[in-house]
Amino acid sequence: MISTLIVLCSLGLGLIFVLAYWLSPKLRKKVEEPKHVFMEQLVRHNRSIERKVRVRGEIDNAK
Amino acid sequence: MHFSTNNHLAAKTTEIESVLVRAHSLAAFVNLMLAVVFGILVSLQFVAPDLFGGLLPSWGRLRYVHTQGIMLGWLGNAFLAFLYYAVPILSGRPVFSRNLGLILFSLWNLAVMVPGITLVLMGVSQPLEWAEFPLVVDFVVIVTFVLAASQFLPPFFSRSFDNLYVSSWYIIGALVFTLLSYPMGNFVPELVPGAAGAAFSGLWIHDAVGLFVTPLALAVLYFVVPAATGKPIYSHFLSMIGFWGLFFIYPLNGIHHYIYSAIPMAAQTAAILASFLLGVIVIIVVSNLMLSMRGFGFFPREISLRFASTGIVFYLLVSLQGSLQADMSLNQLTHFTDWVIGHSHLAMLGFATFAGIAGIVHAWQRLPDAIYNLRFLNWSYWLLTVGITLMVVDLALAGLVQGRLWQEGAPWIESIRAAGPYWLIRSLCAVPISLGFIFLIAGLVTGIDRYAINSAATSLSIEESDIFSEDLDEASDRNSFSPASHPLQALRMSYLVASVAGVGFFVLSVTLLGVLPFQELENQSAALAPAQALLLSPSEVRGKAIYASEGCAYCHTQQIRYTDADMKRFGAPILAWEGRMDYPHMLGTRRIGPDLARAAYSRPAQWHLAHLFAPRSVVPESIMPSYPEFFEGSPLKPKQKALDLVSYLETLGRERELAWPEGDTLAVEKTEDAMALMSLNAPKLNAHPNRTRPFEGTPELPEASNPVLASELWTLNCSGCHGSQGKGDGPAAAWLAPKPINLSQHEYSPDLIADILWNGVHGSSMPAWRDLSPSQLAELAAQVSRFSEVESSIANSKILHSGQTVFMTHCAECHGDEGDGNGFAADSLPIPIRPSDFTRERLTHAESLRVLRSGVAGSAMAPWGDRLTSADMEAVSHYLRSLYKSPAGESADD
Repeated sequence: MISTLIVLCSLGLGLIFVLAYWLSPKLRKKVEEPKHVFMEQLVRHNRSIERKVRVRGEIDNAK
Repeated sequence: MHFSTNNHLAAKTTEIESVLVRAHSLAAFVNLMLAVVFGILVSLQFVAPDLFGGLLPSWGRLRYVHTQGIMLGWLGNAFLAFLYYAVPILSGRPVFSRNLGLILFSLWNLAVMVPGITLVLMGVSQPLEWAEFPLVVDFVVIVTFVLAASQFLPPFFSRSFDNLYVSSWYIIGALVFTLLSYPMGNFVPELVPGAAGAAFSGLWIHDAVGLFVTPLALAVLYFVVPAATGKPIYSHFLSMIGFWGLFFIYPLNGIHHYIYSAIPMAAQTAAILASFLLGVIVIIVVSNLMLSMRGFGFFPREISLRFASTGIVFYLLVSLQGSLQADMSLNQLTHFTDWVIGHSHLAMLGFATFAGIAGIVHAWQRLPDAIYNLRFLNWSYWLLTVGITLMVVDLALAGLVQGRLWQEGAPWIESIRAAGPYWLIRSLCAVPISLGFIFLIAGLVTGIDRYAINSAATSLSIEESDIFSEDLDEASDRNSFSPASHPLQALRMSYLVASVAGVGFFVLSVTLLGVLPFQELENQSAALAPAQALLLSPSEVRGKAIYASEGCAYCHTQQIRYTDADMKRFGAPILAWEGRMDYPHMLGTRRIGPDLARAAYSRPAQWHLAHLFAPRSVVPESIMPSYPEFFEGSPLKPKQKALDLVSYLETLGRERELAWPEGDTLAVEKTEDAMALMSLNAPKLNAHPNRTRPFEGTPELPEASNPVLASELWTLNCSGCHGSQGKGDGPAAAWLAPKPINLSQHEYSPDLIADILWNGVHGSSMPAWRDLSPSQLAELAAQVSRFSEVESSIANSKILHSGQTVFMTHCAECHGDEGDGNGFAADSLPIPIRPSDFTRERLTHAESLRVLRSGVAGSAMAPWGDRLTSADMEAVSHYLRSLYKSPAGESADD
């Protein structure tokens, strides 16, 4: 009884997600969007560090 | 110190608290090295139990701080270090407060780790797996988790959820669910006894790994892989399937740590099924991560990516191993063995540690001014990979060997002997592992500044994709949480539903695998238990506390499982009611020594005292730690602690033993539960192989033919008490009463020696040897005969007649008219050792006189030296020796 419930819940939820993902291009794009946003955040973060280090280096050189 | 960056999503500066990244990283390394040292000390005692004498805290205490040090000290700090770096990037917001961070750091290390380790080493602890720190520390842990949630969750909650990257989900999940599960695992078993308490413990054992360590490790991997490759992960959809699958399924696994226990089978089956489902989820997660690393190989050049990559492989292996060992047939073989220890090391030292290192190294390399040494980090990687792989394989093999021997019913000590080489290799694995960690630390405190050489910082690139061509400010607008206005409101709603469902599944897991089993076990107890519980005496309560604080439960289970092998070796499986007063439960999850659920009445107290003082004196190949601190220099002078502990051992299984067999007969009529009936109908309540019994059912011993084997068996099993030459002068001899027999002064008929070996001598320290085969017993019997120096009987009839008169007057009431030990008083003696049967046992004349004069301490044989004349004793000695019936066709001298 408990085991059946677990299996059905898992399969049901999995199936719903897969179908929705498969059938809706908009949803698909939306679901995948966070990984691209994350990459953008990473790149911006790294560039800002570079900038900061570069500025600091220039200040040190000026001294 | 902090540094900042413009972030379009935050539209303001994002601060990374690099001081806290460094502080937690360094704290992680300190805790790691401490935990590793504790682990090494623990492992060395398997190889050389007396290596450190009494210099160190006991094995159990070191074992407690080893695991807590790894989980909370090392991994906890490592993940916190990573969170301080990752959360601002993931959320586009700074963490809540730097000051809160300093408080959290101080509490985590100075109010959790320092007092936790100190108290455990002092003997104040909780005997529950992954919950060993005492309750007072647990309260602080919960406060720190609340602070951690306050620190890291607000940045996520201040933005919309629909663009939340998977690492963020894992971080949120870990912080929320650990907060829910920690109190359940640490406090509930104090309130719920026995097997029902174990059900909650099982949930926590799995949740500690599944809801705290694994999500944070996966958060690291999902962060480091794209950050180091410069490519987005393969599929965010699959990553979210993995995320929700993990949080739905993981909590349902808990009870697979107690398969074949008294916990209701429905709950066990659910846990087994969930374990298999989890394997599927893990395959999805690992496939996604592997696909995200396409083109970078199994051993990427970028060091944090390489740690991450190997961590992913370890994750796959450990998860599939976990799923498989939940299978009942494999579980029968491997549970309680070193296989499980290998599994936990693969999880915590392989998967989680590699992920933790990947996170720290990745963050550290990107901190301004941070230096690192790639060469050292490379060394660290290879040393750790080789060391951990070797150790896990070694322990898995050891587990299979142990499991096979246990299944075959081999003597317990054989599993210790067989595991010896594996334990040695395990200890040797500490060399590459320790060096690996030393190189790791060295790799992060020496070397070059990444930004100073202006190289790696520019290495990141991103794939061209549609999203990046969009105006990022528009993206920011789109991300604001406004469900009504968004065309994909359904997606947001699905996240909301999934979040609620996640908490719902956690509640479901606690209900299905904790609350319902508890109720069912309560009902079963109420139906089958004796009306009045037998409460522990104050001494027994103190003994239990000592048993707990010394970690006895980590080597000795107290759960005879519902398996043939366990029933044959230990007796009837434990029923739920047998643990109804067991707060917290002591079921245990590992057997290095035998199960103790039915230890009561199995050994005399003096044997226990000698065993505690010097285990190898009574069991030469034992690896049990000695506890000389419980004695005033000798087992004959036990301190109260030793007496308390032995008192507690005598309570294990006592209640059912006292009610048996009538109690079980009555209980059979009150239940239809198949598991309960299996226990109630077990052939023997206590099948402890060394438990003494009345002489019964001795097997016929074959002809002995191998003196070399006999000598070996003697040394391994008997020499501790009887001495190497059988003279009753072994290391433990002086501590036992009655003293072990000097076999050179005794001669036994073959059937009596077979009886003694098979059944032991009830009331003495001479155990039964039912775990030895008949052919081995035959060799031992032959060895005993070879020790005998008993001369033949040479007395005239006058002396014999005189001796008979004395015997009939003073001795026959115990030893019987025929001298066969069956006198009318034999069954009612205050000490249950039966009087000698002189028709089957003969002493030398000298020994006979000595016994007559001095009696036998620890038995009912009184000294007669002041009541009989020398002539009487001479006569009765000759008479007794004349009663011996030599085997047919042999003279006494043969």
